[in-house]
Amino acid sequence: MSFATLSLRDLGHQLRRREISSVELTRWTLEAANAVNPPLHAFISILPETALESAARADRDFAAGIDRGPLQGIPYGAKDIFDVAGLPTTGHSRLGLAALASRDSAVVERLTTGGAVLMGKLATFEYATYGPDADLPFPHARNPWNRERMTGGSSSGSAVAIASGVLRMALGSDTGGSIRTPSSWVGTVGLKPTFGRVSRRGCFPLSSSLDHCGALTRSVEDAAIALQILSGQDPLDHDSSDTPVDDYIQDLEIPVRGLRIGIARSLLETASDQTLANIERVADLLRSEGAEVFDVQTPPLGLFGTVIRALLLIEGYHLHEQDMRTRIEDFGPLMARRIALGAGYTGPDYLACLKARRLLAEDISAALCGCDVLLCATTAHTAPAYEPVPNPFDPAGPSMTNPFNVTGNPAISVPIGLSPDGLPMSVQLVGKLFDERLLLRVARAVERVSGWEQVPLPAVAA
Amino acid sequence: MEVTQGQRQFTGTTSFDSYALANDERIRMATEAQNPAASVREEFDLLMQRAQLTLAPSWREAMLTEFGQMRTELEAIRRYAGTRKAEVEPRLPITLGRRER
Repeated sequence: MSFATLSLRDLGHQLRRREISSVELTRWTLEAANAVNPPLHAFISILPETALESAARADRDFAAGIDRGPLQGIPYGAKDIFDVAGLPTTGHSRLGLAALASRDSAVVERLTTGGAVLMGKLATFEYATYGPDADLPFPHARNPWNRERMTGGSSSGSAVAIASGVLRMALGSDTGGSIRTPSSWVGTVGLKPTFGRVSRRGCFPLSSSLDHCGALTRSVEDAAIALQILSGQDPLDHDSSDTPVDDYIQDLEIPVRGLRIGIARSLLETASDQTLANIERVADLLRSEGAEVFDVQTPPLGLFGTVIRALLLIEGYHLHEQDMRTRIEDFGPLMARRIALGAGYTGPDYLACLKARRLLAEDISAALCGCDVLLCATTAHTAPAYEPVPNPFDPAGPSMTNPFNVTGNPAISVPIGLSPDGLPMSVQLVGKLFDERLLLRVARAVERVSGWEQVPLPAVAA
Repeated sequence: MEVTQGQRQFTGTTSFDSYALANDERIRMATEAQNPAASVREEFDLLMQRAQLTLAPSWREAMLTEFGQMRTELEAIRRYAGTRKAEVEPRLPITLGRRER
């Protein structure tokens, strides 16, 4: 029996009705993970013993009538920058091979408390920076739709484990698009919550003012369920917000009639013709559902890119400065030579970037005063070939996710179909600060009317 | 030095013109980024020495190109930051104090 097509909600129902056991589901997931890893290399490590122990505990709880929440007994994976007590947080780097975590990261803590079953640690780009880099201790994850096409990153293993049918949910992080870009290129739902919505404690940082944690999932409903578990204030994360957590699930099926959707046209300036056609198609679908769709003014995409590159390099270099000085040869060359550029900025440069960032954020807030949700693209085009690895300073680069790390607004990548050459296509939707509830409702409508739910898993799937 | 297609897309952004550099100026700066002047090379070497970084010789040319692009982008950031007043408080998260309703 395959569990690959069952949603988090379906799995939860079957577990609660005792039609399946968590041990049975976990054994199947372990087999599926091993069957595709290789060739897809989504997992850095698979944890059969601890996973089966967690599953047996979940089954005992179900038998005793103890319900810890919607993910009890359900397997998940964690990008290998999240601390799990007793395991190394490798960051997919030689530097992290012996870095044993002393306690769980905040999100792993929440999932463990909720009875979820950790299957393993997932591939990333080195310390969630640039990639893929061939000179690292683990192979990079491969795109299940076409192994010669990039997965995007840096939450590459998380996206691949879901798109290949092994998992329904995996943890990721997003500093410039690292949840949404692989979601777009591999065909998963990727939600970057509002800055401060999900704790980052115990997640290896890249750029402290830009880092966000969240989940990649197979569907929008799965994303809502995951966010419900992961959200909430953490007094040990000084950027964590005390804004109350909504019910993200109850509104999902409410129609979008009457909602105002703003197309952020200036953020599409490097989009391919196909991507532009996708935006128009989704706009028409939303109109046919009764939403009002119109263009809104937003700052140019290139300006967000210039600001985020500088902030990321300054803050990223600061975090890795000691290792860069003393053991630079242990980094992969791609990360080392890019992060080293962070040494070239000054204090006034940093403050100018922060001011530019504030202005850009205010402009996005102004745009969102006139509509409920923004519609734009996640990536300029479908997954490209591996060579050449993109230059992060290329203003024509494929990422269209940067703006919302700059502003902190919640943003979600939703798959909408396959291109003529069989690669996933997506759109990006952006919500008001801390309004993931409405964002998920619109995302669910897009998922439903786009036809993505009828697209089968790729041939390599579990 | 030829300006690449990517740079043309960047420099041709209509709405960007109101914020930052004139078109010719941006093309000039982008061209310089592709062919760093001696002063840029000296600045790069000085900064890397100050940071006490030992860089592989094979990285140098790619890093110089990206360093040149980085300086170009910083100029655009400074000009944009100078277009309006805004309070900058590095310790506070970007979400604070914004109204969207």
